Amino acid sequence: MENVNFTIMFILGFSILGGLMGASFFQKLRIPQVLGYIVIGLIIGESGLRIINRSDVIALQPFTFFALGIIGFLVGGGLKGENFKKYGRQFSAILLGEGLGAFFLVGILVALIMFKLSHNISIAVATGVVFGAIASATDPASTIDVLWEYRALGILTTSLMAIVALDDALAMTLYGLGTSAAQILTGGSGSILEAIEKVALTLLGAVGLGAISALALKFILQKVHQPERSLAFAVGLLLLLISMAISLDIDVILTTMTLGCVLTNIVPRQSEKLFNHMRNFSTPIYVLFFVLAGARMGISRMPIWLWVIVILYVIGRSTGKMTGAYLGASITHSAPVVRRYLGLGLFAQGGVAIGLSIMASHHLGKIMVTENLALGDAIISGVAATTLIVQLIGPPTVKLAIKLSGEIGRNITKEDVINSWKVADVMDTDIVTIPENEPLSRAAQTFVNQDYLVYPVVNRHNKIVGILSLQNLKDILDDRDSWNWLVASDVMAPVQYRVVPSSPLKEVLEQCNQLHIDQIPVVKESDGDVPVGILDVAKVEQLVDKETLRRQQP
Amino acid sequence: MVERNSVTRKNNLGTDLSSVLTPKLVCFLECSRKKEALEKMIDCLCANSEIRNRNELAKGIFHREELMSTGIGMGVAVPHVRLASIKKPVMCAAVCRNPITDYESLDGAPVRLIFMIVAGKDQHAQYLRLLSSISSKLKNEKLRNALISASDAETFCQILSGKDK
Repeated sequence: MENVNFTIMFILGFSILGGLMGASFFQKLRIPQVLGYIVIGLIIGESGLRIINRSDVIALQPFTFFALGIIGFLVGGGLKGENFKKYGRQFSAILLGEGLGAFFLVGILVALIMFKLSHNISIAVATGVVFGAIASATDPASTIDVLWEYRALGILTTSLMAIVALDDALAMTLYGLGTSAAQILTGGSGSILEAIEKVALTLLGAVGLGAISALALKFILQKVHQPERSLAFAVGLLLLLISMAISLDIDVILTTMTLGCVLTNIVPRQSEKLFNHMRNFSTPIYVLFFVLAGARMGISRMPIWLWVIVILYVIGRSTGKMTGAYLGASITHSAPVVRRYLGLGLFAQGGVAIGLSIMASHHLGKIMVTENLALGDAIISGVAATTLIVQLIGPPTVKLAIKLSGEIGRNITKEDVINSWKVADVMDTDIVTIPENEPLSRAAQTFVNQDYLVYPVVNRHNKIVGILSLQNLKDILDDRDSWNWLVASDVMAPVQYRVVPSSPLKEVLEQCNQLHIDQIPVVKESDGDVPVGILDVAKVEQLVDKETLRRQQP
Repeated sequence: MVERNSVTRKNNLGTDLSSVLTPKLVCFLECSRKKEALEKMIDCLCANSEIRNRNELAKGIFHREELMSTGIGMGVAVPHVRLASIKKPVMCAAVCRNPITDYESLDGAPVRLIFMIVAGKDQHAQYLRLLSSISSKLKNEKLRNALISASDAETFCQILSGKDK
């Protein structure tokens, strides 16, 4: 045991438990849980108690990438082709509006400040372009987490998911072109054409890798039918894909998002279960991701002018995104809720922005803005500070957007409905029983007169002794004479399984599925032999569908 | 309960009467009371088949008679029961030398032929096919008369299985 790194284990456990406790505290205050994770990270990280230091965060980077990969995969899973066909024009216009809105407003504001500071137009424009490009990205992770936490469903939620998923690609394009322009302006090497080529290769690489992996996963899902094994295969494939994306310097989120998007559109039915399992499985990884994101935010020792940039960045970015989203939505005649509230849902900023700022520091690191501060460091600190601020503002505004649009609590699945019901909620209570001594000629008439396919057979004390179904009668259909002297008890099947009204519906349906039973007698709680109803699986499915639709309505 | 996709294979259900009725299980009764006749047939089944639990069999047979008489008319009765302990269907036949008048048959006619059928709880389809097969066969008056006139058990079995010609 000497070689085991206990510190990493401790940090993992501490971060997850701490994050969850922070989340439950924030939830009590009706604030999105993701903020709880980040705040706990801030408290225990670099800007706080320093229980987690920079080297720990670096050691745990694989988890961060894994979380980003899962987020990308799940976000991609929500991007249905039908939505793009229906709303493609609107999504594109909003995406360009909010992305370019943030890019230009932040870019101009930052360039003005930098010019006032450095009196160097090249440095001012270069810094403006880099900050502008970074400002166009939106963090899908915290946005999606809020949408899931509040079970949002509707056109605003669909649009939000699509926009936050896609604007990473836009941010990377703007960044690729922007940094090249910045390097040229500041006297460095490179050309715009090279930059375009690099951006195109990166985007195509991400899409290609993701699409090929989706075909592989489709093949696996068609061969493997046990949910646990499918999940294990998917996680394995996802890890491989993430490692490839990292080694090829391709965006992890975009790659795994393509995987999820292609998969959900080529095998919608099989992949739906996988996405659900992945979502359930990923909670601790998510928590860790956000806690570490908070822990690594170092904002101490920033000069005043950088704080001015930070504040202008936040104001410019928020205004740019809101205005751009509003204009894009208005031009394409999007739904009023999208026009009014979509911009509010685009404030969060996370991994992509920080990743781009680190890359920018490599590209522009040597340029000195002031005597003591290099441009690269200014960008990293500035983006870290803005990320902290917008991550604190972003999740509550996403919640506000979905609340104002009335989309909170509408993402109800059939499983939710089934989980909330007991047998008593769906059983048929007006069931007719058949006495055990009833001749079949009369018992068969019951099947004609009533709607059920199965009836409890009872003795003279009204206690259930068996079940009579059409299947039982089928064996003597061709001998109608025997119907006069055979009685219900001669052809009934024994009661293998019975339930009480208070039984959880989920458990009963699972049992039915395992035993291949379609209808089950429901018996009295106090006397397990007295029938009080029948549970018909087909009818239950209809009721569940109806209730799910009802609960999804505003 | 309704089980999904359970296909009834009518042709493979083993309704061949010779496989369930052997000469040892044919008896000729002199009694004229229903209860006595059924008791004797139960004894015969317990002595000549794999059935060991007489009480269970008697209880099942008489409970069924309580629900409704198994006298199906035309001088024929088919007492029957399904028991959990039975592994394969078995049948006992009786020729009543003295017609049984207290059987309360559907048509009120005294019973001359009794076929007692016992099957397992899980042999639903075989059991019903066996009941149906017996009742269909015995609609034939000539056959009924031939069976009533059978001199011994072997002849009875041959007549019933149609091998006497």
